[in-house]
Amino acid sequence: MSFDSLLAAGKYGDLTSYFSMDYLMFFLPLTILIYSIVGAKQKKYVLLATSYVFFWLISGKLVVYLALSTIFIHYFGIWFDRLHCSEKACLEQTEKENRKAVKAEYLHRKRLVLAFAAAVHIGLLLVLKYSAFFTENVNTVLTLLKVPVQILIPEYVMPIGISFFTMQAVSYVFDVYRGTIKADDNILRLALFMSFFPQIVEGPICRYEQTANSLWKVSKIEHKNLVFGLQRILFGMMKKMVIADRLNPLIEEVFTNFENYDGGIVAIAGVCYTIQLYMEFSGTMDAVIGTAQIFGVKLPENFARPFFSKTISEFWMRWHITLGAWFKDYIFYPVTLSKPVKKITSKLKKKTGSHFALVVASAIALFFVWFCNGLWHGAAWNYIFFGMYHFVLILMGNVVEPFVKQMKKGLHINSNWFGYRVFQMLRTSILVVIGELFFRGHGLKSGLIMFKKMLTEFSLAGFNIETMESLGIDGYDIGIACVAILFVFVISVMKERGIEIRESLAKRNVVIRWALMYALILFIIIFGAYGLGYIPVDPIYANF
Amino acid sequence: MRNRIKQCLLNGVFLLVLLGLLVFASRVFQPKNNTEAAGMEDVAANGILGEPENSIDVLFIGDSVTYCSVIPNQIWRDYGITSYVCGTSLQKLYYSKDFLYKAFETQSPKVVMLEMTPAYSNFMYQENYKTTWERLLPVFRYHDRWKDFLAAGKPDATLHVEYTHQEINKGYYYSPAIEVVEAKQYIGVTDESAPMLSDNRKTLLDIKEFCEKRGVELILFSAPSAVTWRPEYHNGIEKFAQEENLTYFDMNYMTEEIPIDWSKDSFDGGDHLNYDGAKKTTAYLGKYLNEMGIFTDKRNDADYQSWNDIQKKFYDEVVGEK
Repeated sequence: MSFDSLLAAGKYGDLTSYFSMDYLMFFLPLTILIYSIVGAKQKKYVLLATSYVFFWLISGKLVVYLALSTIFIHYFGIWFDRLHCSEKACLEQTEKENRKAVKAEYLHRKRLVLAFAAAVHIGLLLVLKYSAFFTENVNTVLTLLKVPVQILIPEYVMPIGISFFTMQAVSYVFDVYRGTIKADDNILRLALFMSFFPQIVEGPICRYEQTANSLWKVSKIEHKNLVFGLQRILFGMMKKMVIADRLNPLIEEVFTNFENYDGGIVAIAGVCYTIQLYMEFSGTMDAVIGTAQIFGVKLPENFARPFFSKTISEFWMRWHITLGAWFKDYIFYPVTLSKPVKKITSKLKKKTGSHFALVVASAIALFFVWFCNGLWHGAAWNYIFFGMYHFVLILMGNVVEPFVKQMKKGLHINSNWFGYRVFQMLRTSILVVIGELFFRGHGLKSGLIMFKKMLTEFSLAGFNIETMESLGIDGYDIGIACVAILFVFVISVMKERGIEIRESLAKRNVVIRWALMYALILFIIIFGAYGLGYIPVDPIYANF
Repeated sequence: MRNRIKQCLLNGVFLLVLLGLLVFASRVFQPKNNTEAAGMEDVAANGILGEPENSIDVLFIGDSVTYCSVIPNQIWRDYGITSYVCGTSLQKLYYSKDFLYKAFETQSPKVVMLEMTPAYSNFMYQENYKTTWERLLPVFRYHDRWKDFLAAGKPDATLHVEYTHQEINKGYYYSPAIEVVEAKQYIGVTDESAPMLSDNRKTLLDIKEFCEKRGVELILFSAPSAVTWRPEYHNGIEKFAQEENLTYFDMNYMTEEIPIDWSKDSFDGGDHLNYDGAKKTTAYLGKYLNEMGIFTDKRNDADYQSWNDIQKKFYDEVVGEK
């Protein structure tokens, strides 16, 4: 890399895709090479250095945000540790009857530090990501109220991955505050936990206890890890390049010019986008987890065959798992266990019984979870609506659960019957597709119009090859996408049944193993939607 | 240790077999001729591949501004100099470089004329590696031909590649239509110089180095365009040419030598020249090349009679000037 290029760091936007040539042909091999050459003790430093170089190459000077965030949480952690120690020492010296007061005093102090730490991180995220949205809405309200004042809409450049690393930072601070982990006195280990290059762009959102130590204890690359990691990257690549990117022209066209199409075409676009989003995001996660596996690091899974879910609640336990888990641990439980909510629950229990009391308690917590979930995805009303849509679905599910149970009993429906399970999966998938219309639509109004079109202008007239061709994908595109989707489906069924595919493959003889690897590589190279005639598709979640 | 060596050897064998498969797949997917029917992209520009070996004196490279401004058949008719236009729409410099490399596989022109509109069309330097990669293993460029194979019910009948197609226009895009330019006074003067991106500059230096190594004269020029041309670009390119000791001329300023009349010399409102405009720029270019004194007139050379035939066809069939 020339000096010129080094100076131009921050412009390597292509690296944000873990399937780009820049990443797969240059960055990753070079990192593996350097990692393999250096001694065992230096390997972790190589990962740290390459992670910062990676972030610098895509974000330039904005790497400062990441560094500052790490420094802050390091010192907040130490602060908490000191408070914990000081509390312990104080309690030992305090007589039994006064210990409660000491505890309360320290809890108050720790809460203040926690609030400060959260405010620094969440506040920064709010300013960078949401201030323009809030200002625009304030201006709209001022206009409606005929107040002749408009606030200048701020513009900030946001570092890629800030939504992800901020959540890691906050989870670390919370966990140290709660005492579930000890503060890390090694800032470099913390820095690697925050910046590990495969996960910095799109997650998964890791907890300190999940990855920090394994990242710091990395050793030489094992052949099995290398092979398994590469296999997983290839599988992800197939999902992204053969399926997700191939469907993109249709999605782009219909979501941009939805006024020109009937409800049938809108429904097709909704289904295609849902498939695209899943293949793209889960494919990227395959590349991320596969890359980490090469270095012997196990990252948490972010997807667990979500379209086999029977309810929306289950769907969200299988889709973007680490985000859901974060909201559960740091929003759902704190809200549910907060004093006001506890008070409401106990009052309701006496009046309505325990089911509805719990439903109301969870509804309050779920509201905050889904409001934040929607907003996390983007500073726009359609994302908030998307969050509220899922909030309502989950709440409805909780409310009607006892009635559905009774109804099934009355109608003698066996919940384990295959047909009923398929019905549940299809119902869940349809609800998800509807939600994605709002998620992908250009603004809330577009989403609403598209949904209305699906209900009022539904027609099968566009379900033919000629229409599909006019939307940018031909019969061959549909055919190859279906073949690849079928392949992913079969793999998913096997995984759902607990079959470890790569382990089984590893037991086969070398001819079969290699033949399958070559077949997958050639399948991607030949049938991938890239190069001549294709417009590159940016990673969807990197923008969140 | 023994296991490690065994593993390394196995990995090496795996990669070698993979490379072999990619080479084979490249042969399968690569167009077997430089025609559209054979699956070739940018057929007009890739017509260079069908020219007899070492028959081209001058290679013009650039984007649509170039292929609308240079008529090789006119240069042949007037001076007996063979030339070809490797021009593609919205061409970036890495693609210009790729054409240069590709053309030199079978040709050895004495002069390369690089039109400079792409100098300010930004790209990442890594694109150069991508095009090299695609040139070495064409399956990465032509992989989408699986659709052609399915449509035909079979892959290409042969793995043998032979480029036989010769373009009558020699890369020139003929359009006699007229669309008047609204902003006629596009030529301004400024001291400002548009900064050239380091990736563009680096690619230009690669092109320069390539030509220098082969003893080929690289000449930079700007063809007339009332839409894409900017005086800041002119200054930037002139500065670059001075620094690198290269010849550069800008036809936009040569209103006396090349009297473009924007009320009738463009087919799309000033972005590109029509045939009448191209005749004027080509007349200048032909004269310029001839005055270099390094080319022999081949119009009566028996080996180049196909050029006379093609020139006749061009004027009879394409232009309709009998």
